Amino acid sequence: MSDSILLYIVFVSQIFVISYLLPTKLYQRAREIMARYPAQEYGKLYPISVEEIEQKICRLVLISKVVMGIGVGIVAHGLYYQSQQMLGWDSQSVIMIFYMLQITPLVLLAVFSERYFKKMRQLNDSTIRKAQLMPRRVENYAPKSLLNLAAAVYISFVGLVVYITQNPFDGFAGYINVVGVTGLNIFFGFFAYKAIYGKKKDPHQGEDVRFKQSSRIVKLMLFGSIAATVNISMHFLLSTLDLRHLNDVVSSLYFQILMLVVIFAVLKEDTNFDVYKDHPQEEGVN
Amino acid sequence: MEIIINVDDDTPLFSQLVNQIKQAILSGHIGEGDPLPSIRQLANDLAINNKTVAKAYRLLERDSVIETKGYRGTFVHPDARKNSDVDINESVTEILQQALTSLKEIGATDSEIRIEFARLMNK
Repeated sequence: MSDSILLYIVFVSQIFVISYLLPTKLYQRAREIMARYPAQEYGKLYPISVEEIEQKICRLVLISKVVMGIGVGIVAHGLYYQSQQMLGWDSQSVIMIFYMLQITPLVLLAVFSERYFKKMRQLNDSTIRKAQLMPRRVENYAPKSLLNLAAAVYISFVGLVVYITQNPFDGFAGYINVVGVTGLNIFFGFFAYKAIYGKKKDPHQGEDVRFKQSSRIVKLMLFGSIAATVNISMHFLLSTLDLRHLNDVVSSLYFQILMLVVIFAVLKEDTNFDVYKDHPQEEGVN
Repeated sequence: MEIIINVDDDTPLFSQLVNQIKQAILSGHIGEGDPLPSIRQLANDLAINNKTVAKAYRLLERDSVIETKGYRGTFVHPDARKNSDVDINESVTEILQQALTSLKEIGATDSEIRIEFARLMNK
């Protein structure tokens, strides 16, 4: 199989996973929640009207569809002109920029969620506040094996950079790579820290659900850190072994795996919706 | 162990925190040497100001109910159980009451007492 066909197959898969599967699953999840927990009964879940929520979600789905269209256009261009490089340019840059476009709806969704919870907090008239009289520790939120694995992967990466520096390939940036990956890990660490020690976004959320949610975020961040470091290490190894042409395929697969994990995490999320009832009765996880 | 505060209650928030932590120690829900959440964590969870929690912790530390061990965090004091029984507020009220009675006996007026008290407090 020629390298460019393999690249286009993987790229089509990237379009499908990030611009179709992910928004579809998120949309289905939102519709399912709104159908199962209607505003009449679960008033606290809706700080804004259902119509407004639907409007925002539809807008995000539309953006995803437009991005999907751009992706199909890139593939069509590649097939028509039989170009080795995407858009006759640098494939890796095209994949990266396209990925940024693909995650734009997700970034907008994150901003929307922040505002949603802020509104929820403003409308919360409860004067009772609760907290656990226990310090939180990172090791309670993620298995030690995962923490050790993340540390081991990082140390191995530093080792790899030191090794390649002795015999660098063309374009190798040397120890700057360590700085870059360290920055990336600090970025993941910051979000994990916010999840554990940060302010409670949802004022109605119970302590057990919050713990599960924070734990999921911490594990996701650890996975993100491991995946990003492995991805960059793979690029270095492929370049060292003169297989640089496979770097684009690895990048695309990395983005897809990352998003598949996000989809899995979102779908696995269990929330106690009883806390959003106007008159909460019995607590239970749905 | 869960701590519950009511932001609408007449009792100041820091007093509610002090009382609840002392109560948790006396009831055995948290033991001597047990770690306590950081000021920031507790303030975030209760959605109150960091300074309020810091004030509660300062008072508890003064009463030797909790102790701060540098960067390791805050822990329940080894003598916390014994010290949680001591109510400084009660002592303050008792001493002030005695002072007021003595002042009234020598004929000091309310305004004289208030002015002098305010002056001494501002020193």
